[in-house]
Amino acid sequence: MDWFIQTLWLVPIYPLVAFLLISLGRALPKPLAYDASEGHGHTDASEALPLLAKKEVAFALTSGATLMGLVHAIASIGWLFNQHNGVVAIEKNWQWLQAGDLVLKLGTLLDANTVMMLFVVTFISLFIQIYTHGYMNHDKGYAKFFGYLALFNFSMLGLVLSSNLIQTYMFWELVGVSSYLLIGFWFHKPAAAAASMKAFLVNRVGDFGFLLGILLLLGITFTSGFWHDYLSINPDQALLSFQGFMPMVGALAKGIPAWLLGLIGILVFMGSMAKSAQVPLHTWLPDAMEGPTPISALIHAATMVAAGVYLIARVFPLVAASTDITMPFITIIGVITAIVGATIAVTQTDIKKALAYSTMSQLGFMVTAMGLGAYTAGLFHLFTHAFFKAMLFLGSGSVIHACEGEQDMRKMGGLLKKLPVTGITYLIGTVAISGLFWTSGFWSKDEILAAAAHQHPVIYILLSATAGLTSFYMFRTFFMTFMGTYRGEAHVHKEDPVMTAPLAVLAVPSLLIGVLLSGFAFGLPAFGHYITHGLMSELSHHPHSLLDAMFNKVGNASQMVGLTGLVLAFAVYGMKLINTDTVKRVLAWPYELFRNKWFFDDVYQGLVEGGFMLIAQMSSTFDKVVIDGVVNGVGCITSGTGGLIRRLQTGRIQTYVTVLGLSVLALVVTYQVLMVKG
Amino acid sequence: MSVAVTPEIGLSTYLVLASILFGLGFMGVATGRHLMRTLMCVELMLNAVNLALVAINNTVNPGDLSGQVFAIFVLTVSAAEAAVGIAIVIALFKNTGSVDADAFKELKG
Amino acid sequence: MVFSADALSSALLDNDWTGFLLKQGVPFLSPEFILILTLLLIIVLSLFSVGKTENKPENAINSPVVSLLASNSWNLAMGGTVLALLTVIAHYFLFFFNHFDVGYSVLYGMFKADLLSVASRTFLLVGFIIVLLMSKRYVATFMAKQASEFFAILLTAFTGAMFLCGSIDFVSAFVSLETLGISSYLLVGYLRNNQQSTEASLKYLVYGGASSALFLFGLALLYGLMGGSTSLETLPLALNSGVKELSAWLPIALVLVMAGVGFKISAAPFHMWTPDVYEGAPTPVTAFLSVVSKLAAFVFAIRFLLPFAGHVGSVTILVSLLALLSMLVGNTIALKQTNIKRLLAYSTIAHAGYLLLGLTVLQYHSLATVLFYLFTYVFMNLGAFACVLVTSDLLKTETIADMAGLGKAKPMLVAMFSIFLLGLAGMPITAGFFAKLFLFQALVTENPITLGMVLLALVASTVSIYYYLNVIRTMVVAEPSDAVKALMGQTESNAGCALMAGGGTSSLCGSTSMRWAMILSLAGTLLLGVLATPIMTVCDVAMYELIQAGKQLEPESAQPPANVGGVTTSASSTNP
Repeated sequence: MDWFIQTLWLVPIYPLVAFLLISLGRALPKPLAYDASEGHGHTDASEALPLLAKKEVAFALTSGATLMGLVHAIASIGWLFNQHNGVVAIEKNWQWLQAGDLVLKLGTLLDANTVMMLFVVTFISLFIQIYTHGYMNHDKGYAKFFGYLALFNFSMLGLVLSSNLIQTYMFWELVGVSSYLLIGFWFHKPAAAAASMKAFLVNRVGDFGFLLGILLLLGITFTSGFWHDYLSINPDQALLSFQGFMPMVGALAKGIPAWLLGLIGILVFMGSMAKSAQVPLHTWLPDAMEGPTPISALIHAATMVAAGVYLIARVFPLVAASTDITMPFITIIGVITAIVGATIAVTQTDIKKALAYSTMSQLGFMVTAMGLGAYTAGLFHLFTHAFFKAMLFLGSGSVIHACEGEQDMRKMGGLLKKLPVTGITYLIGTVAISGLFWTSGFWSKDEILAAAAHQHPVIYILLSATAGLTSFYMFRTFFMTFMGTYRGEAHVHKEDPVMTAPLAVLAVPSLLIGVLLSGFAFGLPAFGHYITHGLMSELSHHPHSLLDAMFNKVGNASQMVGLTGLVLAFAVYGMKLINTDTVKRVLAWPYELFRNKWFFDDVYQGLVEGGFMLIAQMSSTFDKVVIDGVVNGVGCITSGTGGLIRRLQTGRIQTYVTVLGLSVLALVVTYQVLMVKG
Repeated sequence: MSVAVTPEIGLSTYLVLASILFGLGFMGVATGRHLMRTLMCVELMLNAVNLALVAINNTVNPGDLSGQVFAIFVLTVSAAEAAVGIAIVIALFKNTGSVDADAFKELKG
Repeated sequence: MVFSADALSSALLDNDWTGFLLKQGVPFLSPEFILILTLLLIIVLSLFSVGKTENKPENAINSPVVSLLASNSWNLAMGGTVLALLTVIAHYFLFFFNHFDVGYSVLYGMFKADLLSVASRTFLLVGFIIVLLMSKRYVATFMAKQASEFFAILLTAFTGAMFLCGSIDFVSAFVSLETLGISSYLLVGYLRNNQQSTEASLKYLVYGGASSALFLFGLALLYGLMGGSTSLETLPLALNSGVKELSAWLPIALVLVMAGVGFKISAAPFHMWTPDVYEGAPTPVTAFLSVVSKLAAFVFAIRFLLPFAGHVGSVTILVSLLALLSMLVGNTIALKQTNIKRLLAYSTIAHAGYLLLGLTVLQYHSLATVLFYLFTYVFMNLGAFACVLVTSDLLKTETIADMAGLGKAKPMLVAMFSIFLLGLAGMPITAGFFAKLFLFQALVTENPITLGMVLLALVASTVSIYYYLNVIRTMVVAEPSDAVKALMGQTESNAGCALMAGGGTSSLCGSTSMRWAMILSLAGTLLLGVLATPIMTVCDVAMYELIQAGKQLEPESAQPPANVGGVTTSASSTNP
């Protein structure tokens, strides 16, 4: 038991080894028989392959690595439950880079956050890998896919366990890289290649802000000597160690103006905005659905997109220190994202796109919670959402697989009879995400709503309405897919047990994990008992008793809102009481707005093109000004140098040599003058 | 072998002379249009330095010959440079039929 | 140059050549000797071969061995280089086991075999191997008849660069600089029938001739100032005891020498040859110039400037001026370039600026970060030029606009190109990021002036991100240009080559050597940063020992070293 805690650093190493072995297997020369059959997608000749290149080996390596990670995760849960007197964090570091007095370290930090995230990532990964075994069985890139999955797991677990912000950034980028690889896995599909590129570009914007924030933070705290003093007291910790954030922010708040602190917080949050698909950096997430469905479930629902929220949790002292700037900023972004995501989801006809916008909306809920200071609620929702959203995506994958790749819900319907396990688990997920009947989503979402109600009524009303909308669009997808009569042409296959078993497993936590960790059941501790930040006592705006009272009031209200959504969806899509075309006609303006995704993509298209036009215009104007300036002899030297020197690049060698001679003369003179002065 | 430095003609005199020769060579490179003239001006610059080297050697440290040895190295290098330079000029002449430095300004900006 | 005839004559009398050579430290030059032997072998063998060269058949020797070797000049060059690399690697053991901490003077103080020369020569050799890999197919395609000559001259130039890394005497520095220079003039003009190539060669020759004359004049003046010594090692002592008559010449001498060095490292205002030569030269030669010349000249610059630390405090003013000008010129003009090779030329000027910034603080750690930066630059820049080589060969153009939409036809090539460009821009997780981080971090705490310069450098590198990203954006986002469309047409009718995922009728795309050049550069670009510690330690130790060696020669070297770092103390404790 203790061994698993002590060797936590092995957790990312397992999948890394799996990735390397699978890559090695793929690099081995293949026998001719296999090459001949490869083009046709047959795998009959796979017996002739070397051992490492076999499909089964790739699967066993990846899932075995994940299973080992899960064992560590369960051991660490046991460790957590044994911490009776407040949670103690265990940090271990190994030196990574040294350049002068700048020492960067790699390490692991074990605390309640890590335990939660570690469990989510390994547990969901494992079942998604089993599911993938069925889903990708006939794909000729099977081994490559599992290799990428292992690479992703390595980066994600490295990110989860990271002890300091610099290491987090490195793994953050690695997670990004592996996700681009997976989105663009079917790169021969132009849409997939484009989606991969878009995810890359949008994430660059966010990561650039993130990096700038880290460098600012490092520049200020390193040069001021804070880390030097701190690390001499705590030699086991690393530079920008998360454990040192609280004293660091304390020192910062005294040393730098509030706006700068807020700016650093917002810059770091920009990383979260891109990874967690927050408006306005959300546009890549729906497009990323071009990747294989297990990827959508693993990366774009359960793990990677939640990393943004996890990052906020990690740097919470930093964002929480700026109550006037960063926190309201985060809240507003979160609320907008929740609303925009939910409204767009209503209009989607592609089942995966609808789920993608739903994910975006739910991430908005979590980010709002963080911005409100409801740290525990945000992470609790991250935790429950990971299970039911992964299950919903896997369910949609099962449907798509059965319908021969059809993703349009208008060509589905009545699938409950043919796909009973998928249908029932999908219904469980729908109920959970709508927060109905004390399923897991109910507990976590209502904690957020309670925090919002406590903080500001407007935020509460907006979030409640969004929750109602969530219930509506989710039941809409359920009714359109599983109820009524079948409207498609494709022959519906039977369910694959390899794919339905993970669904059934994931349905259990989707139903129960909320109530188990609510603090009301079986004497189990509440989620917040462990996952609470040291800051909470000072910064929390919500004393627990008050929150509980609020929770009871909010709970009933949100049940009602959720049920309203359910009934409306049933009326429109189940009973066909209301004709959708009439609705579209009556609500033409908002419908068009939502259907066109609030025109974000169009605006970006315009902005990017317009932006480059603007820059081009500016540079040409600049050029004109500079040339005219030089001609008129009024151009100031600093801005004119570029144009001037370029004008000297005449192509005539005599000019070059003349400039050489004059430069030497000028330097000698300048040098003499400066030396006399100095 | 050693250059006689008489008291009235001091080291400065030699250095000034070398500088003038060097400057002339540099001016020639900077203004000349005929490529052969450019090459000869480069040689002039190198030989101006040789003069300076030998003069300095005799004034500063006459017991050690390193300045003069250096000058001989410079002569060798300048011979190689001249050979390469003429080869390049011939290649240019074959290509364009011109040895005018002004003719070669296609690469610019 | 402290030439003593005694040692030589006693060796002649006793007939003890081995002892003499060992005493002069000649084994430390074994990589250079290997390279020289290789190039002589290539020249001699090429005289006897038929067919591939312009020889007449009657000159040929009918020996299968000779003709086989003669037609394999690339293999010979590669073999020699790899052997030299192994020899240099063996030298590390000499340093670690025998504690030649302050280095060993070779050939009467002409050459210094210290850790700095060993480390820089290692990376020079690795870089040269990549250049050779890049040029194999290129030479076979465009200059098949003069292949052996080309490699012989390339090896000559490279040997000059190798010698320059350890030169601590004016004579050896000048001769190695000119060996490198004169051979480079030939290499730049090697496409004899291409007007751009010959024009670039002419410009390089004239500009190089003028600036090496300036350099030489500076050396001559310093020779006088130092009281008749040509050794850089005695420079600190000699500066005080030199001829007073000449002391007014000192700033002039410094500027002149820096003009010569600035020409080699293409620092503004001595940069004007760079864009023209880079554009006109055959691309492998451009890659050679941008990496090998630069690295060797920077090592010489470090050796040259170090003695001035503390003596002429204001040498930093000169270097700072060059650094600021280079960053300004490189980054502003690069914004307007349309040719990819010219863009990289201005980028190289900007990088010279960042690197010179590190030379303004003559302390061991800041110099070590400069060295580390140079090592990472070797891989990033060679990788970028390898991509340029393949791209221009595929599209038959070097214009950036014509590369639009290349990502759709050659995703792997574009991905690699993007990594190299992001590395040059200093984006994480590439080595370029760590190099910039270490360099700026070493400077930022030094004094207010360097802090200001680092801020300027940060602004400059932010500007640089724009033009690097613009190339990536063009390749990735923009609609395919006509050239790319034509390429995609070819691709459909061709079987693809594995690395570039696609095909096309390029002779370079899919060539194994080209692939290895890219993989080596990619590995360096990605791994050198993440696994920086050992190399950074070598740089630190090399620079620390270099400074210690300089201090030992000074009479007043009483002060103990300040902040030495864990690794270096063990090595320095063995110092007498």
